[in-house]
Amino acid sequence: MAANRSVLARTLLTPRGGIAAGFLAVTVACALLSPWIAPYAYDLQNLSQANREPSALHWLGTDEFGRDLLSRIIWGARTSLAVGVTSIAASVICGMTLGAAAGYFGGAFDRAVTAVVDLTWSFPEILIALIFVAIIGPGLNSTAIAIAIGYLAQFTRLTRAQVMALKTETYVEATISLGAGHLYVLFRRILPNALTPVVVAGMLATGDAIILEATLGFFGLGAQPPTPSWGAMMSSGTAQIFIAPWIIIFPGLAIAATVIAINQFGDALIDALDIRGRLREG
Amino acid sequence: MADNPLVAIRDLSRRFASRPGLFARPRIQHAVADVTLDLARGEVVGVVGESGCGKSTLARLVLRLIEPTAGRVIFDGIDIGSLDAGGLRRLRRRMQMVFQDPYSAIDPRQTIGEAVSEPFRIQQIRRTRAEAEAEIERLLTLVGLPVGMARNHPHQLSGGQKQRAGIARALALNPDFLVLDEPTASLDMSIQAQIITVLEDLRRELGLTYLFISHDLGLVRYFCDRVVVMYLGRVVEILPTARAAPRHPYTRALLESTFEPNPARRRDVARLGGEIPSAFNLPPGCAFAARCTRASAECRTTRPELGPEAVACHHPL
Repeated sequence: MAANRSVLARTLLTPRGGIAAGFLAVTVACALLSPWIAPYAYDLQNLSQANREPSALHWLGTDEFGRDLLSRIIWGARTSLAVGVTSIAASVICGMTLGAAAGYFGGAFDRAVTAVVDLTWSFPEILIALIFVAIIGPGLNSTAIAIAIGYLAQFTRLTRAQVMALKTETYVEATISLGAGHLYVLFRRILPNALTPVVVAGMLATGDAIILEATLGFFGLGAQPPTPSWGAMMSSGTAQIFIAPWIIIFPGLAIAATVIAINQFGDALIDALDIRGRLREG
Repeated sequence: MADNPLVAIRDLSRRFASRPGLFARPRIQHAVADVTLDLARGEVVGVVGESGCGKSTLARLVLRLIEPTAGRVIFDGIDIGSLDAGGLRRLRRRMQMVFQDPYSAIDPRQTIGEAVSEPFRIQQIRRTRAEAEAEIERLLTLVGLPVGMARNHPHQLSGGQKQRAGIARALALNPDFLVLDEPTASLDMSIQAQIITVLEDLRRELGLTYLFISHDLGLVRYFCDRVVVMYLGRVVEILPTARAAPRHPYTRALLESTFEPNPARRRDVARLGGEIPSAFNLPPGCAFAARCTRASAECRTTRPELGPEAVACHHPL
């Protein structure tokens, strides 16, 4: 575990890794602590204060129902992160299981999994997500499920490729020759060595998933009112874009900044994890 | 053949099928064909042949790391092909393997100590922490590694040290039988000699039996009691002693190609002409006939069998 800690330390010590991690920490804090740090309730309407520009009372202004935008963005972080993280986590877990089984055991099961996965891989994630939302109906849960299914192919393929490459390593054969069974080989030898790239890919996909959640929210397929979601807030902001542009700008900035931070942190993590490159320098 | 051999290999064969195209007929490659061999207790048997002759496949068949298409391997009276998973796991305590590539033989995430004690974990042999540490110490000392190396990761070790660690791991469960699959092939010359010395000492101290796979006939003749020469999946000759004169033309060609360090003693090398037949499409007669200077019409039509003379040749030297 010492090696893992130093990887994190190296990531955080780079300027871009540190800044990105700092911003993400603030976003996560907003998501976790939204009931306590949001200045107003997210559904508190005050029609006399509708479409107000940013002021001391409402730092980011108000929307068309007079709700405080800052509060809604803080609550929206909870929606975006919850959907992004749970859907990608579910997708990574299912994808790793499928990919590991397909890559390790091969045969007819592998051919079936590969065929289905390659078929879904040829569609963009948003199309798959849209199809599944259309089938199970709009809402936060179905958005999360749809995103998880949309990204399943990516993690299945990645894990399968990793497992197939690791399977031929001499240390895997050595473990078998010591008398280990399939599960031991898979869980002790292969998956720990396959984990890193899949986790990093999952991390980067979380950024995409937040955009996908916002997109579905923008179309009204995600969180249903009055639950605040960055995508849905932007959608309602389109009507007021000329009289109250802050309604669409601030949620948009929140999405962009969060996704950029996730991508930058993921890139810094990839650099820090590149063990082969580090060995060559050393 | 010895009475009560430790390992008895009987008509062992392994075919691999590969399909060149979706609708093409599968092509069959006979990686190992009809190998019969006994290993007496405490004996070192060398297997030589050029790359692709099936010697590594034979090594894996003998330990049942891959399944044979025909034939049997009997280890100390037990047919290893008849064992279930549990029985095979228990038997693996007595037969182990040392691998060709020490650089990838140990999981880079493990420390050397973890790698050397892993056999106990896999075999579910419970030990106290102190027992485990004493065992790691014993094993590392046995192969001549400093005890402190137990805390290192493989990338901190040299190739020779990694190979010693690999040998220590193979010895952890006190096996009777080791398959050595070219254990020195990816090491420097000077390190090769060290590893061979370690293996010789261990064999004497622990009474081990070795099946030593190599493409270096010179090394095999130095290290082994008997030498099995393979060509395209078949045994062509078994030299009864390491110093015995070769009788098969292929063995002689192999022997002449070994490097002689003393330039005064270097002689003209009779290079082999002709083409190695494709392993997918072996000729009906002797597989070596196309490259053999002594080949006759008979050699091209009938395959010579490995008789009591232990040489599969119609016209032995």
